[in-house]
Amino acid sequence: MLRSDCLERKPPLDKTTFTRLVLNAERPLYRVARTILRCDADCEDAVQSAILAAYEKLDTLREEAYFQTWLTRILINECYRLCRAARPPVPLEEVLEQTACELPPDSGLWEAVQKLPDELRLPVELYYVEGYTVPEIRKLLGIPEGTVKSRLFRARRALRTQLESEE
Amino acid sequence: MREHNLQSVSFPDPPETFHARVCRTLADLPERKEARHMKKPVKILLTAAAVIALLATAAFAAGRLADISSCTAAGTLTALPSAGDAAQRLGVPVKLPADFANGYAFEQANYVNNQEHGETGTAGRTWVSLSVRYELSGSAVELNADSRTDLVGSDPKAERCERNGTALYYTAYTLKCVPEDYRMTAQDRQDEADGVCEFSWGADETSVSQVQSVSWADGGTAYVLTAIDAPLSRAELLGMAEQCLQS
Repeated sequence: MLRSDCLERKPPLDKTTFTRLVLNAERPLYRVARTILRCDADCEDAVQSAILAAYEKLDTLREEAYFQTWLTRILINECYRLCRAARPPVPLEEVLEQTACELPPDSGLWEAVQKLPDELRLPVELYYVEGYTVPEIRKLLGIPEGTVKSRLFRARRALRTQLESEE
Repeated sequence: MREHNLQSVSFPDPPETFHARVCRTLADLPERKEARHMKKPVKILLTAAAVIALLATAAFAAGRLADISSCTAAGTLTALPSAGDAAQRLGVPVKLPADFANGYAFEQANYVNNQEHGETGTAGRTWVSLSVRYELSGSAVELNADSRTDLVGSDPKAERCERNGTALYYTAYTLKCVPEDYRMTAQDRQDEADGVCEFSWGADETSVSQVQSVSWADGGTAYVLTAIDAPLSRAELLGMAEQCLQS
């Protein structure tokens, strides 16, 4: 698995095109960030950092067609960086306010997905919600294809156990 | 999960504050200055991909990382870099022959910025390498030098030979450069698992090359001599490596 960055490529996108592509990807970006990070304020920080980082190294993007995948990878890195960073304590009221959101139609399943361990939650989100294929997730997360498959398998098994115990 | 379908998992919509932050960030971006884009020769890029493949294989074997990215630094050098300049950029002493006894002669050189990436995509160690291209009648070999002596010899597929007390590691494999959206066939996966084929993602179109390389460590510096589709035998390539050792 290797990347030969900075090989032959087209001229970088201008600001207008970059803006349009980011706005098109806004919802998937939020969902990916929300899968890794637990509060909306952190998601906003991560996405802002990812946008700035992506704009900074826009000339490393090979094809406009891969923009969303490329930006998602940058975002995942930013989310992990935020997770690692020491964060000051947040008042409970603020956390409750930040995490309060309208639950989706199958809120039981969504809640169950949220309870999965970190390493299983993101592959599930990328595969089932964003529609990435296993090879694409392999490249996005930098893990072997077999690992992606086994995490999806473990996630499904964990969800089944969780949901059956609630029924 | 009788009454649930994973495909139907729908996440909450982004809150207004999220959208506002995205818009504010985008609005504050400066206009981009026109960037210079030099099209680099395909052969040198192909060789770079082969060297990255070798490093990545060695690093995987050492169990340390998931990925290596490499980016050619601006400016192709048309004269052989001085030992002093190379040592300053790489942080280790570098031996560079101007030409080889079999006729391959210096053509050009590039400094390359490299970075490791961990399993979760986290950025890791960075280092600079020097990539020097030698040519003879349209065929080329590339000598790559850097400080990563820890990766030399860690590829389990490499054949170990010895020259004047220095271990040389020889490998030969097929390098398949494929587009980002390339779907691997069952045969591809088998070849990759068997170690007979390495894949490089991000090419404009699929191409297949035969790669031979020799790597060794000398005086704190790691060297990789790579030949792609070159009319060189294993013995000739090892002889060129030996000449580098003696230069």
